[in-house]
Amino acid sequence: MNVRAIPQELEAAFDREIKQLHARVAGVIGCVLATTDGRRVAAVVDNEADPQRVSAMVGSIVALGETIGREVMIGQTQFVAVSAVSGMILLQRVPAKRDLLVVGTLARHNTNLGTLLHETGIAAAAVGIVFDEWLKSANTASGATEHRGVEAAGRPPLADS
Amino acid sequence: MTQELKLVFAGSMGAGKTTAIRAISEIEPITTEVQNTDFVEFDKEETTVAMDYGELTLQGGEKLRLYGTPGQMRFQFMWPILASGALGAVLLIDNSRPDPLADLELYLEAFRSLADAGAAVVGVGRMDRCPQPSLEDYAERLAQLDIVVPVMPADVRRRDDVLDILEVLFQQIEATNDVSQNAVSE
Amino acid sequence: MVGEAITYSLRGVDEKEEFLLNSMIERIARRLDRPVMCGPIESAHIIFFDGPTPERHKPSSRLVRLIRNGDAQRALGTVRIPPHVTELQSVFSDFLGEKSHAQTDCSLVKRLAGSIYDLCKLRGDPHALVDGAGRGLILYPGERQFSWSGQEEDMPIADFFRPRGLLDFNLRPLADGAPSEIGARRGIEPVLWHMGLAHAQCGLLSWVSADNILKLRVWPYLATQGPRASTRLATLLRAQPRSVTALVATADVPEQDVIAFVNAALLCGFLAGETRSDARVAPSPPIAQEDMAMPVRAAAFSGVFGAIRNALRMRT
Repeated sequence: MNVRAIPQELEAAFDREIKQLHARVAGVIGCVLATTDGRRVAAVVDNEADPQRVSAMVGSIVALGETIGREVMIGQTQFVAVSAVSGMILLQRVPAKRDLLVVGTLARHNTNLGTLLHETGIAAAAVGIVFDEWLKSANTASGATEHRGVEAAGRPPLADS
Repeated sequence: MTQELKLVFAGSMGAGKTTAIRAISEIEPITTEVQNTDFVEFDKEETTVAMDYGELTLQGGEKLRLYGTPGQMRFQFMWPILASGALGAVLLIDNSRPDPLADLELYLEAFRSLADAGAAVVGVGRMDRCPQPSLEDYAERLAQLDIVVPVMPADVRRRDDVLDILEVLFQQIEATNDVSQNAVSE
Repeated sequence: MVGEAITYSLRGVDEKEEFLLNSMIERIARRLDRPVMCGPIESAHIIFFDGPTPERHKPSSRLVRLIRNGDAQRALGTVRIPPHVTELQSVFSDFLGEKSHAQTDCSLVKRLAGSIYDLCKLRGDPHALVDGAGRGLILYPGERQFSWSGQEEDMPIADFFRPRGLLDFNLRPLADGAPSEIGARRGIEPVLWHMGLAHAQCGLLSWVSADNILKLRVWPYLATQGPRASTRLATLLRAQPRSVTALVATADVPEQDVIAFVNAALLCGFLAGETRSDARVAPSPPIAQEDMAMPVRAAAFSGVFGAIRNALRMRT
């Protein structure tokens, strides 16, 4: 997937899910949708945190979580939580045919972790459905070259990989 | 608490950081590579998003830890974390990239404290296929930056080249340390 | 050098042989234009020896092995015992001849080095360093480039500056007449580097004294082209500016190699001389702590780099 040229409709759908997550959970002060290699896809943040930088860090943290999981042989990481004095961050993989996205939720310190985990999971699943539907439609569409963002290097678009 | 022994390998994507670590690590390097989602910027299947890690056991049981930084700019926050407490840094430049001298400047500024302390060496890869910029060009740019660091061509796929880089790095650190020790004792 | 006494030394000979050699050399010396004297091995120009090869205290000392077997064919650099006067004579004649030639070479090399250095510094006009047949180097100081003229392009530059090779060459402005064949241009630094190395036979560059403090400006990327200790010398100078005198004292490198490196690095601009001379030079100030890595003092780890080298099986 070329993040530089996500189709507008897909971008809008992602944006919707992230904003809904931000709106429906009381203590949430920011949400990001990032690629696993640390690129911002969609974000809404109430404080001055830079979504681009946060997305990069999300990629690093999830990858390190994945690495530790492999090292101690407990399988693929489901979520990573960071608890701090003034808040917490929860990072959850988006379940989809392509394992390329992560949802990150930033919340105040008194937010219930279980609630946050549940709601973030719902958002991640919703994003996953949107993503899979788009992948399916991209696969069945004729002329893969019509898809915006086909890499100049001539690699096949995402759906064919 | 015992001070750890650590070397850091930095440089742009594809410059050979993981390869260099693999050449000297006694363990298969631990990597944090994930699928690249932007082939426009870099034509590589995977990209490092956190770090590479390798290690070497020294006589007496101490470990030399080898850290590779992620090359892309958005992971710059990882560089000081990984370089903290390092004995020295190997900065690897890929001469086939569009602007290797800009890469050189970027990584030297990021690791300036190590470079100024005589604890950094630059290895330039792929000079056989891409001879420009030349070593003279690198020398000129370093002179403009007022930084004196060894610059040498290196193919990190060859272990001997990696060892040559490390030997020059160790000599720099030892010499700087000798000078400081003599100054203290005078 | 003219008028300086030639000192010789004897090692591994008995009293009788010593007397014989001294007498013969004294007679030979009467026909030479320089005094000859026997002296300690440390300062001898010529060392006659039998047995293990003695250490050369002066790089330019000539070693002459004494061959005791009268039937053995005399090889270059040997003299039979008991000696033939002609053999002894040829040792001193050869010595004087080479010194004389070297003097001529040295005046030429010094002149050339100075001229080419000035041309490069002032970004002068193109010049040709060619022989009568137009073979040699074309120098483009303004662009810091050179090209070969009428030569095999893959000729090693070091060969161009071999001893006795420069006598046939003249440096002249290219405008005075360009040679017919000029090759592709390339960076001039290797020419300057090898000129500096060749100049070492004649000592330091004439505008540098052994007590001038030298500072490394740029890492000498031509270090692999010699001398062997170049990386070590560059490392020491990078850590702290110092004079040739101090470098010889601390580097544990033959003086000739230090001079060769300094000449080459100065000509290329890798080294710069500072105006102060022989003052105490303070080491670089400690690096202020920053968010980025604070270099760890290697002093905290006695022998750590030795241990790493061992673990990696690195040749030192």
